[in-house]
Amino acid sequence: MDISNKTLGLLLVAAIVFSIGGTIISLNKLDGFSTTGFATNNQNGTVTLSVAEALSIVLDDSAINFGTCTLPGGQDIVVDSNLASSGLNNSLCDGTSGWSSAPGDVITVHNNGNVPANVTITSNVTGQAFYGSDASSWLAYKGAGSGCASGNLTDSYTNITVADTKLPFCSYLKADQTDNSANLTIKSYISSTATSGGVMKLTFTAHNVA
Amino acid sequence: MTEDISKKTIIVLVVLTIIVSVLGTLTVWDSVNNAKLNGESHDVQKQATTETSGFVSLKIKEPVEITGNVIINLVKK
Repeated sequence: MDISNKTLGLLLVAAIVFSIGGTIISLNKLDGFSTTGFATNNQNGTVTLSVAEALSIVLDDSAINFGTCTLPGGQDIVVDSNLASSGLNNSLCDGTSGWSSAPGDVITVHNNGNVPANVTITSNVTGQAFYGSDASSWLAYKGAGSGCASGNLTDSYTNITVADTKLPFCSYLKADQTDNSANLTIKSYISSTATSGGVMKLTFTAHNVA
Repeated sequence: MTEDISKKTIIVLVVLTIIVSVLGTLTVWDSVNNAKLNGESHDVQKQATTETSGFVSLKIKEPVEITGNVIINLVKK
């Protein structure tokens, strides 16, 4: 059966109506696409960051060198690598000639890690043993420097009376980018009966702050 | 009996149908692209970025040891 042109015309008009209607409906539905975008963008992401070997210290200056001290006969002497105090006999030691102002010579402990450090020191000998078991002589240490948090520093001279034992130095050495170091100075009373001297090894140990 | 419409009218209707269909498709297509690039979509992406969670794991080795020296040699006059 043939379809008349009139019928074809009606079908085409219907096609146009459907096409326009479909386009309008699609455009209206497109507003909903932004909602679909919300759903996608609300997903959570996970970032994992690993930081290794965070605890670390170095010695910027690793020695205090008094050199050779000449003991006057029958006279005790006091030497101090921190030149702040008076009545010292540093001039009797040839290693001190280059020390111009306080502190004269220091061992500087520097926290180059990224967490605070609890720093202790360990001496291989006692002060008495260092001077040939001379009972009158002693050797003491103290710290200074804002890199150690307030109240955490051994800041007055403390005699080294035990060997191979950890002694407190700075229980909170900051991990600050600039203010992160502390200085150790040495004071010693050397009696006229002292016999040896030499090299005292001080081991600085860093632990995590509790 | 009414007269049938002419072939010319049919052809005009066919062409019109094609034009409407193509224009509709292009309009919808353009709207889809705009929906991906409009400001609202960018804002949503920024929001998602700020809501991202992070986890930090920290490995610490201890103790760390380093040695310094105190040197005092003695001679007697």
